[in-house]
Amino acid sequence: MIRTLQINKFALLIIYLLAIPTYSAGLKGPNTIKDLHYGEVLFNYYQNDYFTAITHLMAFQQLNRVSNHRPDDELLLGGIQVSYGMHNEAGKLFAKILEENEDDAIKNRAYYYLAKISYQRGYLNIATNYINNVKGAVHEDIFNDVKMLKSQIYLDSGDPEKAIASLDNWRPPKDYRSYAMHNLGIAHIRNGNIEEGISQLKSSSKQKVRDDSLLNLRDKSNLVAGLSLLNNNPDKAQSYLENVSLDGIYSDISLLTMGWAYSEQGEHEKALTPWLELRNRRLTTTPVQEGLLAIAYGYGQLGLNGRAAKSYEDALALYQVEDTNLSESINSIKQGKLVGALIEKADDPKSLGWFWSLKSIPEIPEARYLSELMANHQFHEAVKNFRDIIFLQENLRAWLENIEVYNSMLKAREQRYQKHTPAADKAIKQSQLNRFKKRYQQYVEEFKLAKDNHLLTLANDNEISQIRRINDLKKKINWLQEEGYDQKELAEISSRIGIAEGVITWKIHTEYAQRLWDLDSNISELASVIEGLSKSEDSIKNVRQVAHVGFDGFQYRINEIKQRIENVLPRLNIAYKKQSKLLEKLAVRELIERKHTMKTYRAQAKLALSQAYDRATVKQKDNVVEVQE
Amino acid sequence: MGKKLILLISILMTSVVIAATQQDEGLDDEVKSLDGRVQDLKKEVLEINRDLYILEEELLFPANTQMAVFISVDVGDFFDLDSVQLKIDDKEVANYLYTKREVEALHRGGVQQLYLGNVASGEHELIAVFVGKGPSGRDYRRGAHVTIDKGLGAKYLELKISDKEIKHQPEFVIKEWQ
Repeated sequence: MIRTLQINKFALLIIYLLAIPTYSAGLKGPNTIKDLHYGEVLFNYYQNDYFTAITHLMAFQQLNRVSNHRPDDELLLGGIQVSYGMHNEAGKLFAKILEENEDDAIKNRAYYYLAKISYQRGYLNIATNYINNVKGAVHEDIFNDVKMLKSQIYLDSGDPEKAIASLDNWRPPKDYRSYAMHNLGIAHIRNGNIEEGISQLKSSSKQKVRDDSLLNLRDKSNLVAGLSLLNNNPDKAQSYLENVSLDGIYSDISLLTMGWAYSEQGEHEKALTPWLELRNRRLTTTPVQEGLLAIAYGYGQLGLNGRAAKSYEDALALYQVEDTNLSESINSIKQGKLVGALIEKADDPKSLGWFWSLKSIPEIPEARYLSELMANHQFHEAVKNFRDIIFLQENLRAWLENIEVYNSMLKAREQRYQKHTPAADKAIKQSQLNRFKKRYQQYVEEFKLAKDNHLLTLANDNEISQIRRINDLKKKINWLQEEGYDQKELAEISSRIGIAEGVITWKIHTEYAQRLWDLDSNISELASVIEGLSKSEDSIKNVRQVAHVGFDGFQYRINEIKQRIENVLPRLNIAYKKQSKLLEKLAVRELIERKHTMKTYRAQAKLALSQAYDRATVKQKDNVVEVQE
Repeated sequence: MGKKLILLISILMTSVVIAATQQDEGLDDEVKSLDGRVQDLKKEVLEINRDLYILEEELLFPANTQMAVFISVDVGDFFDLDSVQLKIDDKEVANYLYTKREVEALHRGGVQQLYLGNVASGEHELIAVFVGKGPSGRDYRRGAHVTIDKGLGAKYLELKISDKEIKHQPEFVIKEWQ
């Protein structure tokens, strides 16, 4: 009877194990970064810092810093929102993208994400519709992910044939290979083609393991292959089960199955080895609990009825201990101690990515079953939400403090501004800018004339004064000539004036190139002085114009944001309390279910124990009869 | 007797399952409803953070003095980045030690904002020193420098680590973005 119950249990386990592992594909960045800030968002996203990535992307969109990546920025935002558990918002965004875009490549990506969201939320029909809308040439960025998601949706919808069709003839790249082969193996098994299924699982398990998730997948492939062969080919099943790591997450169930594989071949003594190994492990897992019954069953099969009875008694005692532990844990959780244990054991409760090191979970009632509870999807998701709420609370509390700093900073700036304004105004009033601009204009004119061979424009101050005196003298000589003065004497003076004028002109002529270069340099220098002064004046004028608006504007924004924070924080606190309660309820539900299982095991053990006693009594009677005879 | 016991267990289990299923539906609804609320709260807090990010930047790093320096890796097979030191006008403004996760993010195409600060208009000299492992896993330290003219708008610079295939050496380039 126990054997039958075990096999029934195995049927359930096989269904569970045939559940496909979700290949969680990350978003891929573009080949070329056209906006540095877009790359900055990816940098945060690739480190799983979804909160920062979304915040920055939304800010950069508003500041128009990612416009060269449109509409990819929207697709990226939606993708990160999915990762951050914001399915509702992501769904709306992708629906909007579908409405606004005609391009097949963009629509395909939106349909893919919508399918992924629906799949993650368990809406398989909707997910199927969306994934079927991915049509035509699918862009290489999502090609492999679409393949994987399609196969997962079909498998979960109970359509292994379509899953096989979606994976066949596809040569997946190495990152996808193990998952694709695993899914294909499961699809074949579910479709009734065990041999082909096993062959695919074998290929999957032989792929190179690069990380823990691939190691777990390899173990799972071996385990599923072993389970699938258990009834009809236990010998072969054994060879697969032996490859499952002894310290991996599937080791307990693998040891239990290994025992059954031996038992199936009549090797009951060998079957006891893995089952006895299970007895030394944590009693909180189902395979270990079932293993206790299996040990007794094994002894019974070997005809060791006394040992079998003793093992059933031991199992009953341990189930009783476990039942008491479960009751203690339930009471403790109902008293509100679970949340405290969760936070206390977190690596860094204020950070976004905190989780626990399961090895360090203490044997206290409220924390005893944490690792088992975390294996429950609903509980796990609820813990993630709880963790996110704590992060959001911490984030807003920190901002509230910073906002006070900004307020002080703004006030200090305003005071400094008021202090310096009169001096700045005075400086503008006394500005030399117009004088410099006039002089610049004059230099430019002189330069033009000089270039047209008007040499005297290059005369220096001394030469100009000398030329003026020469011109005055020339005027006086003309007047003296008209007055009838001695012409000979005047001619002599004119000749001397001509020589002086010639000397000046000659000097300027010989220094023409140098003087022209000097003038050009002066013009450039003046231009740069004017530019600098103009900038400063413009800047001061600009600051004068916007300062009041700026200070008032910043103050308004700070106050408005502060109000928003103060408005959200109480609601976050309520959410924190409700989420805590929800976690407790989910935990209690799971533990009550475990208590029911425990009850069933105890009933089985009691029944089997009485049968073992019966057998022992019959044997004793037979012995007595034999002796009397 | 055995059969009776199994029957009794089955009846007990069935009644427990029915009661549990009714409770389950209520709890499952609660899970969904609370998840929706948490999603709404996330959206609100993210919007607040977006507005604060913009406000902070405008307040602390106004566009006319803002300068940001980013770092990116293109292929990067010949250089394994450990740290970067950044100097502007001979003054150290950033000295960053990279984690494995950050290096991976850079290799996947992410771009890190290494520095965000204020500099006055005019010419500035920027020096970046890259430290890590070069070809054949040997210690490697290389510098790159550029003189930039900071105008009125924000200035963005990219420190790019790429591979010089022909020489089998890494290349460090500083690129100005408009």
